[in-house]
Amino acid sequence: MRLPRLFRTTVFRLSLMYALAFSILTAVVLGFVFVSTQNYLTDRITETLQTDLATLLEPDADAAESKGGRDTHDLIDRIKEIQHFDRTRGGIVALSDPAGKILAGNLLHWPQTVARTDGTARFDINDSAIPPALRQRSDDFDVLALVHALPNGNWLLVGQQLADEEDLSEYIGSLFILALFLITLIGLLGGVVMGRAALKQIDQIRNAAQKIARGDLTERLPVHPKRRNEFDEIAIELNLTLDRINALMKGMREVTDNVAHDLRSPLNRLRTRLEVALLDHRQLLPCQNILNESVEDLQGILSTFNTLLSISQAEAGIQRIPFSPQDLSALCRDMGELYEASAEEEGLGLLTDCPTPLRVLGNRDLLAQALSNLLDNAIKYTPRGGRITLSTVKLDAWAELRLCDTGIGIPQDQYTHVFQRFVRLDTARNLPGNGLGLAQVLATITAHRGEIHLSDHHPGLCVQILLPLIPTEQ
Amino acid sequence: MNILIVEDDTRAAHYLNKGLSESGHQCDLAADGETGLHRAITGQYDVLIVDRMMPKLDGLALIAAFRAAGKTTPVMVLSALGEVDDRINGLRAGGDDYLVKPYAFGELLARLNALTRRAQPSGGNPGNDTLTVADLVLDRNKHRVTRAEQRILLQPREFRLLEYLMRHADQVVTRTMLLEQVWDYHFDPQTNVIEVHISRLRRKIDRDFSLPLLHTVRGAGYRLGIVPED
Repeated sequence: MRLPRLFRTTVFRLSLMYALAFSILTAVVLGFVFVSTQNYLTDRITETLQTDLATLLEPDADAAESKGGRDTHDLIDRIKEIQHFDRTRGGIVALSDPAGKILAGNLLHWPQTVARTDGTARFDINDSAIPPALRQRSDDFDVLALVHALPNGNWLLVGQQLADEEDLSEYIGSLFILALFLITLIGLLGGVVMGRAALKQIDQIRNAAQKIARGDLTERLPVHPKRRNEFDEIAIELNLTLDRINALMKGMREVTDNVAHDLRSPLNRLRTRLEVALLDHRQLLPCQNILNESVEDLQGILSTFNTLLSISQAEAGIQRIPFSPQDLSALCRDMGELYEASAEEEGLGLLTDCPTPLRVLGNRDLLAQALSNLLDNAIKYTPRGGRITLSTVKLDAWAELRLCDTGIGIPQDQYTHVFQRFVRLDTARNLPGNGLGLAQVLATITAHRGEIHLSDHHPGLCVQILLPLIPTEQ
Repeated sequence: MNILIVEDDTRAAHYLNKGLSESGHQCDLAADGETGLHRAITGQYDVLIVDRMMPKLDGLALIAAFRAAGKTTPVMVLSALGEVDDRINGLRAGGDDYLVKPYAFGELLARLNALTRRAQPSGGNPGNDTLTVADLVLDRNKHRVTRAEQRILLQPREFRLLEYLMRHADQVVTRTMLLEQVWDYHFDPQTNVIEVHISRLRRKIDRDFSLPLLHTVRGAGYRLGIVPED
């Protein structure tokens, strides 16, 4: 069951292909070395034989007669001399007359397979010309011979039995085959080992993924702390994805709970009011009031509902919202103008200081809504006589927006808490609002790949928003 | 007005019909896109109300086909899809205005009036550079507002606000319509920022005169005109 899966792994297949390619390459190299060695050995022996031949034919210094060479008797003597101390080397020497009759040497007759022409020849040791006593060994091997025609028509043959050389060749050959076998085996084993290692990691990832698929969103794919191979990289990416999904799911759950509370209460109020009105047949007068109150309740419910939708829209991310280049400063001046009247009405000074154009990629309506929520808050939570300042400035690659007020502020330990949906601090309970404003701001800023920070303004609150600037061409 | 309602939700269409009839309009109903398109092309209507998601032929396709037939009747698109790009798609397909469900009936009524007013130049004289309501006169060229010959100084935005109100004189204009048309924002502010701008404008054009012109219509919006409706 396990092996077939192993064979299917990419790592194993790659290893197999490498092992195969390596084996072929090794075979070619070793074959070349083998043939070269053979040739080298043959060449060396041929050289020795040529020296032997030359020695035999060398003119004698003592008998430097005018004949200019050796006569047959002389040669026969020399051959016998060589034969005498060359018994064990496996050397072969023969002198024959033109008809093929052996005049001297250790052959019984001229070898059957060797033509009487000048040059090298190779013949089998089993040739009947070789007397059994002369053989180096009893097994099968070749004899390398040099044939030379003498001026008087006789033929001289010097040769060498190749038992040792062929042994060496066979030995080298078998070594090479063994090496080839080992290389292939190691390649295959490597493939199996690496394939199994990869499979092990994939199995771990698969097990984790199955747990996640079963609904355990807190489970994470295993990542080796040091190794960081490509599987780890993928696991890290997937884990980040899971973190986001988990956070979204958690958010969804919280929203469901809060929606249940914040929408059910007014819906229930609405229903009770209408039912009571239906029960009360005779009392016709307050009908208009009941309807008015009901419409107001519905308006509140719808506004909460719309804000929730707008938050999830922003959270759904950049791909679902049309983004285009916006001048954040112009937007701030615009919004400052829209809210200036409201601030003045509440006895507050709203100062807008956004002189430099700051180009960011964004959605105007979402940004305006976020800014409107922040301005609403600032106006709502700042007592009469206070000041609100809205300013933008370029901060490296960021557009910075600061909105500071002199209001009641937010306790430092609540800075993260206030961005959650439906959160209303105790200080705000008696003021109108649904606790969704800052959640909408955070969702919008996150969708714009920006950051939002709160800080104490002593007194009051400072909201800092950072949005990435569109890089300029220069 | 003669209105064609193309809406597959029959109960919604029924209430819409009732409300519009009570406001003095004549309505025809079509329950799917194909019937709607047929009626729209063959009939004579002042305005079309088209739902986006319908059987047989969806709202946007209907509008596209209607416009392809050379018709210029204003179309109001209704949709439960409220996403930012849906509104843009709706307008791009040839719709003239877009309302997200659930909408306030008053909002729909005000917008229908604004649509037909835009389509019939006789009412508001949009080509004219001078707008007049009672003794209030707005001169676009000179960028000048007078009431009873007295000069009234307005901020640029107040000028645009008044201009829009005067173009839609005697019509109810909702807060969202003002936010969209005067400020070019498409979102729902939590508090009523528009109200403050209206009261400032009212102080400037109404305070020193005996006849109030800028009225608040409860639960709906504002109306500029000589006689308050209720």
